[in-house]
Amino acid sequence: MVFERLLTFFQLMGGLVADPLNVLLLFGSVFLGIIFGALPGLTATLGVALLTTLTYGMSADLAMVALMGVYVGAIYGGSYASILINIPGTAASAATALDGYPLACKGEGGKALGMTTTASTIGTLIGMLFVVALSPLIAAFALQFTSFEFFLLALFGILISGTLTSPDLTCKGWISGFLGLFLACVGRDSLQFYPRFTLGFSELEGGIEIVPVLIGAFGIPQIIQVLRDQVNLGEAKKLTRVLPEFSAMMKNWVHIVRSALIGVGIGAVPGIGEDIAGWVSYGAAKNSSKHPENFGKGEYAGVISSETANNACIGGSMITLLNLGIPGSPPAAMLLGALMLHGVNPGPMLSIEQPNFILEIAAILFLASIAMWVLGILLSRQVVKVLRIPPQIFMPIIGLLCVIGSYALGMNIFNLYLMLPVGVIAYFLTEMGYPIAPLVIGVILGPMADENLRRALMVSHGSFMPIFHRPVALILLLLIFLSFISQFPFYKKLMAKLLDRIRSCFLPVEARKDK
Amino acid sequence: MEKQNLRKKDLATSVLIGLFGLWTLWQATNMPMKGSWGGVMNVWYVSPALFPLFVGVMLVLLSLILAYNALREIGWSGAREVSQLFGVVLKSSFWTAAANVRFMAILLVLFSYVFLCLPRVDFFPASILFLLGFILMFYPQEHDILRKLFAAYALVMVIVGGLLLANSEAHPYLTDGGCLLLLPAFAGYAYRQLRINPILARRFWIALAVAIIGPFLIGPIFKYLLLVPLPFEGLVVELLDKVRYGEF
Repeated sequence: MVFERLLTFFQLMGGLVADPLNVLLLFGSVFLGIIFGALPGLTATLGVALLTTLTYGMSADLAMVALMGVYVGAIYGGSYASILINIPGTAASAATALDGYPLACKGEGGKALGMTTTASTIGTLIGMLFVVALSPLIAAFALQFTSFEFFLLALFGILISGTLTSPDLTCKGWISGFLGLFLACVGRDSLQFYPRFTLGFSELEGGIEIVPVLIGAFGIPQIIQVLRDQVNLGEAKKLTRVLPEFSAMMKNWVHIVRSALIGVGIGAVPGIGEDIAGWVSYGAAKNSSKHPENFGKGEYAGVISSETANNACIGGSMITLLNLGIPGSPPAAMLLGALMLHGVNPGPMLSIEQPNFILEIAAILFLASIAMWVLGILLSRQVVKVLRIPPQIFMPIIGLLCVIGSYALGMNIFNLYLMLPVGVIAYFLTEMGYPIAPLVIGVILGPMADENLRRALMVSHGSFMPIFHRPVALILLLLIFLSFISQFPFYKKLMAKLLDRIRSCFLPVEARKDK
Repeated sequence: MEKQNLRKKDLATSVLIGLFGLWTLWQATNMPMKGSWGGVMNVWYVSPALFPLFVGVMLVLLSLILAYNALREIGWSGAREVSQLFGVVLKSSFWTAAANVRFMAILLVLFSYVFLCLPRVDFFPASILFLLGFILMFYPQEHDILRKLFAAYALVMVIVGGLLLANSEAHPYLTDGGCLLLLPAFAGYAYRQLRINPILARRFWIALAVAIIGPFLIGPIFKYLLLVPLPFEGLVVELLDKVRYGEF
């Protein structure tokens, strides 16, 4: 059975490579994806969305080659802007900026890009392996989740992001996350269509668009900061080697494997996208490191972890998308729309209606990751030159791209009226030590948290008891509770006393007397 | 000292966030909790108010934690000094400080582009004006030049606003044409300020080139390649359409 699947997989891949049009389209779309990802304001979701309109006339197979190419390229391409100019090209690469930008400032941007290119390729390949081999198992696990788990998972994602990204007090990260959740409440609620916080604006009834918020929150503060404080982005030194050394990659193999597994796992959970995979993986790398103090100052492990995870997440999100019809991330949601446009209905029946479709997607993922590596290694040297452009020229162009990018997705001018004020508020929040990533994650996960909380309570008739009967929900609740109270001084004192007592119990009697 | 100032600001923001949380709660209590909405009898656990109530409570709670943290570090004496933070804004030195002038210039350029020009003026003149103003104000890295160009740009925006008011169906291209005339006027004024120094003069030409090439590179990609209509299509876009579709 396994050999049969492998044979079909290689046959499909051979078929794809044999057609020069496929190869040309694949390289072209991956390149376009890298550009979309690298340019702040243009996201993977936007790339997939815009290309969907261009692939309408193509066959479903050819369209998938183009759309998957853009998706893979854009998730990886976000690292360029994160590393080189400290603006995450996409939310997925927000964690990469924490260590990538300090590395670029040290003149090691090329080396960092080489490492992330390889890490992203490995991440995509591992994700692809899971699509081929373990998708039914992961899908079965995700299917066990009920609404309570989804609600708690969303809340945990916001809290962990707030905890990990806050440069000052942890509660500032949480405030940022809850402000994002508030933004997600705006518009008609999905269960009863009651207008919430619309302030009489009909444009707000459909809710707040994620892309303009994302562009405004990440792009505008950076433009203001760089120009107001006359920040020079740092100059890239002459690159001697972009191709990563095998030994350097091997040194980080633990981070790569762990991050790929985190990426696939998070990707398989519906609604949790590449951005959370990046943050969680970054947090895991930091927590497991012998030198966590180096993180945020230019640590290769941090960059590799987030980039491996966000690309591995593509495979994970495809598992739930193809097997359950539930998108694992915003770009996957766009992909779902594109698939339906081409007459493909993802879900449990897909493997019966089109037995080779999932394997074909896996084959495209494999080829796209190879194309990404080739283009990435060739492009890295060129893109580092971006640092040589004076920020006073570069930033206004980014401003223009942020504006046109915000407008392009919904072709709605109101998106611009939303993007700019959000950006200015985000600037003030950044200045006061509030992280922006939890705000954006709050906006993304808000609808999921809201709907699932109410759905869960509807099923249980207002009882919270099912949480205590379900192991995953209970674990998530405990994690949320612990991460919350661990920030209070009384908890730290209590834990210190408890540890002291435990230690003293194991000490010999003499040592206890000496003490 | 810097941390002390940050904590004072934290105390001020904790009040704002707390008030915002209370407003959220107040708005949420106006949502249907138990009554009938759209023919459906509500129960508290499916009410649209449930999640906003949770968010509002959390915002109030977190603002209290933030305030507690701030007060623990600065004490009540420090809290009394928080009001001085607002007093700074009233001083003229605040408005003339170099960093604040730069900040206001950025806001002027961005807000005028998004709220005034882009929805009402052809994409190309609006974007060229935006890029030209933005780059020329900051690229020379001279505060005096920034101040002069800031004032000139504000004047240009006032004129654009006036043209928009005068715009009518009888003269649909009045604003687009006006903007196309304002562009060389603004560029000429900027060149007069920069020509005295060869380095600055060179920067002027670079800025001009980028400001013209940028929109003509990005605009057609969106319009003709990605098939995204531009926010406002006026004189220049119509001319480009004629060239693109061979209507001459």
